[in-house]
Amino acid sequence: MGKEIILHVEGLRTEFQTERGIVQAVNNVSFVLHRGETLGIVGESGCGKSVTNFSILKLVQYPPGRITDGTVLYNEKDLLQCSEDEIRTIRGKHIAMIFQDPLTSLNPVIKIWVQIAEALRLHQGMSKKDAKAKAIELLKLIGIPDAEQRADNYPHQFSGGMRQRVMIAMALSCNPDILIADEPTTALDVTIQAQILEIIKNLSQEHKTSVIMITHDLGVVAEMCDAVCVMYAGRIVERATIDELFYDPKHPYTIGLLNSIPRIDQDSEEHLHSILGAPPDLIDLPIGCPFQPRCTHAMEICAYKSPPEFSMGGDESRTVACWLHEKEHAHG
Amino acid sequence: MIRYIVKRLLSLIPVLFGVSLIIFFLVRMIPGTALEMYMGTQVEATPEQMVELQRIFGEDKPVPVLYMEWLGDIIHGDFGYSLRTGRPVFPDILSRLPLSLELTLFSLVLALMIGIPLGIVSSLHQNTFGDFISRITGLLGLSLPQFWLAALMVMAFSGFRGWIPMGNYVGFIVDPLRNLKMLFFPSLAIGIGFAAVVMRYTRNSMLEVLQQDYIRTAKAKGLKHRSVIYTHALKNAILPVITVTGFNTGYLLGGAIVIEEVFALPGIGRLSLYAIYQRDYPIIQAVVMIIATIFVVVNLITDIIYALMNPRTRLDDTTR
Ligand SMILES: Nc1ncnc2c1ncn2[C@@H]1O[C@H](COP(=O)(O)OP(=O)(O)O)[C@@H](O)[C@H]1O
Ligand SMILES: [Mg+2]
Repeated sequence: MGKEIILHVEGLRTEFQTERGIVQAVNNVSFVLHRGETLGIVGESGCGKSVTNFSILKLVQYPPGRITDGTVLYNEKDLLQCSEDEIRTIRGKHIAMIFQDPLTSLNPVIKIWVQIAEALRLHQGMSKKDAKAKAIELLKLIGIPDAEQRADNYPHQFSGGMRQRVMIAMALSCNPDILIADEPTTALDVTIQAQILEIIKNLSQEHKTSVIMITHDLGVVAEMCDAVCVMYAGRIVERATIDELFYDPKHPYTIGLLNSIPRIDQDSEEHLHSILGAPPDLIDLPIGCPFQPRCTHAMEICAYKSPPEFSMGGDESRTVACWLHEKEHAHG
Repeated sequence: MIRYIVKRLLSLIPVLFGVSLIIFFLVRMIPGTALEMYMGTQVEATPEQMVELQRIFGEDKPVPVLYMEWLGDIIHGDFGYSLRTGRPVFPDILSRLPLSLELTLFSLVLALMIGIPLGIVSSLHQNTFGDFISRITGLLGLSLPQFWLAALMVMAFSGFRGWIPMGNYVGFIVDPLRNLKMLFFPSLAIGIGFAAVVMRYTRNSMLEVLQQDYIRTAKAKGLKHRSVIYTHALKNAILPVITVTGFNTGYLLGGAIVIEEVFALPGIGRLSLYAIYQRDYPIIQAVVMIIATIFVVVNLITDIIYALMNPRTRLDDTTR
């Protein structure tokens, strides 16, 4: 491929101990992120997207959460084996995160600039004064009007869109190699969504930041991503480039997702499909393919044997975990 | 802010009016009047003498009339004279109030100094042995009566290496060290129960705050554990503790009044206790009015501190 791999997640498993049993939130997830690339992780809510990314920075709270297996290679170091002190030097400095709900993700009793300046002071050893100046500069950069005054505000005095901008400023303050954006626009108005995506796109391109874009919205994927992993019930069921995903989807789940997007060029009522049924309970996963109960193409084997990830045409970056595509794999 | 404070202070008026009404009639419902207490069972008096005594003890008029007279007096800052000593009530109370307030404050500080760290530690080591021990201790602190603890302390420590200095009370200004030494155990006895309350509030509040998204944000920034706990978590977790502290300061003052008696400290507690024995109505009434005022002012101070700590609260709608 020639592209430099910046993050390599391999065989990641994360589970939660609950009263009802063990939730397998992330089940053998592997993917690579290349430098400068934006990788999408798509899937319905509850399929393990957030937990996957919390696991990368060991932000899963124990108890109840536990990373039971896997490696996360960054700069030839396995982050999962790092001590708390080591991983702390990675968090915020080399790998930064933006979260879904910018209101609850900002500390309500700490001034905006202080929250931005924290990482600067910690990772770049800035003085309080310099960090404040830089925080204000960042606020201007992401388009907060009257940045000097607004820096002294508290989160509740900002609108949803502005809060998410603050989160972005915070995450990008130390020029991280990797930005993990966990549904950054889900909690925002449609009109604001586009602006936020634009900011992430521009800033990441400018600073050559690699991005993991978590979303359940294929529109966001189309807008932002170079490659995509489709997740279902804690696993990656399909991985593809953006073109392959939209023009040649393989997995019935992916096809279902694509069909559920309303399109202008279609008679909406007739052609708008959604996938029937609900995602499975991650505690009592079916023995076979987790998607099998909802799959219109299910075969006999699907009920009792979980499909591995078949690579299409021998290409590791194009895989489908579905028995329908076993043959393509064999012949490819 | 200023407007808010003025508004709150004005709200003192109806509160104090209500308190005055209740206390005035309540003290007169205690069986035995001041005069009867004064006379005892032995003394004989002529009818003329009795009439004169009734006038002196203010028992010659109907209670509502007496109330109106008293109300008129206190509005002018005149709390009357002790029925026993004949001395003006107010200076006597004023000279004893600092001790009671110091006891209250000291017990408050002790309770916070014990309760908050224990609560934090307990929340960080949830369901471990340490958590278990501090929770049990907290429960004990909560269920042991103050006066019982106080009596225990007196027995255990007085005379013993001078842990509780005996002899006359010395004011803080006269000899701060000796003063604090004298008040340490009484304050502990008063505050220990509240320390347990503070501990439980801190623990529960911390446990809740630690689940919040912004804690994860703080960790994702790479902040050290200490900063996450003491800057990000505690600043939020302390808010309910401030509120409960406001509510409980009155309770601590009440505790001080009881405990003063056990440790033989000359605060308003002893004063009012004897006033109650002797039905010295003016003293009881004045003490209650002053405590009610302190109570309201303390709650106001708490609310202001709360507002300063929590930028989301707005004290009033007109100014910011
Ligand atoms: N703290 C937790 N305790 C128990 N289960 C959890 C916890 N956090 C997440 N899960 C479970 O893990 C699964 C994946 O969650 P998540 O990664 O948040 O999904 P999403 O794809 O919407 O981001 C969900 O089924 C959820 O119930
Ligand atoms: Mg999520």
